[in-house]
Amino acid sequence: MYVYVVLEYSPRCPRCKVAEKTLRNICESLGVPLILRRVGSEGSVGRDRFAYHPTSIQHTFTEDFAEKVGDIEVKKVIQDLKRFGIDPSRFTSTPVIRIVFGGSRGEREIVIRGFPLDRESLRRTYINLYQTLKILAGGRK
Amino acid sequence: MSSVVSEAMYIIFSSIFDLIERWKRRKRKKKFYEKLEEKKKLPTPPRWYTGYVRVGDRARIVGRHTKLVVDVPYYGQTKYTYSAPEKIYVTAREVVSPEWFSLLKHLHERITGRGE
Repeated sequence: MYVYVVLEYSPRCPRCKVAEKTLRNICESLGVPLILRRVGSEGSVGRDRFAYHPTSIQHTFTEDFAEKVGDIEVKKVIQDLKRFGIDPSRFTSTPVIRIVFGGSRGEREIVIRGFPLDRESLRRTYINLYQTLKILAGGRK
Repeated sequence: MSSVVSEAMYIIFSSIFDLIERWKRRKRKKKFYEKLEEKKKLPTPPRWYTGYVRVGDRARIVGRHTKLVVDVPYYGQTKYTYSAPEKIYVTAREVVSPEWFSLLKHLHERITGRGE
């Protein structure tokens, strides 16, 4: 069984900074590898500005995906936005936390969209993520 | 007179030989297409491939290093197939909620099909 965490971040996003700090803390204490992946087109180097790296959740903001999952409300919202000329699947929404784990039965992923900022919900998120990773990593220290 | 007979004989024999040749050609064509169909029925793996190939009710095993080809009865060996990683999509609001673990359990059961 293997576990690793991928954080898809954008350099100017305040939530990403908090998410990175929290995940670093959790992963260091549990010994789980953390991989950072910059998405979007905000790069410091000139060449990076022309390259666009999509996030791994962009396809979830489409009508097809909402229909597949069975979320009719979301589908309606996406349809309304498209009527105004806004395509939500084109936005780079960060941060995205991917907890990848796998074993003999194949690979599985928990993909978390977004991260909270207020203190109380941060505390709860820390506890939930810590426990989840601890269980997945098999109680390793 | 004799020239007429010889001409007639020539025409008759040549037509007979032509017919025989046409039959032979037809036979050759038939054999060629039969062989092609046989090849389609028993696909041999490419030279670089090593692993199992299912041929009807038999499994053809190609040795990894030796490139030996062995035909054995099929006992459920299958060619390696890629399975995409299964994903559970959640939002930050769900991570914050105290029912996070029950939700994860429910989603995991939905993926694996154990809960239903």
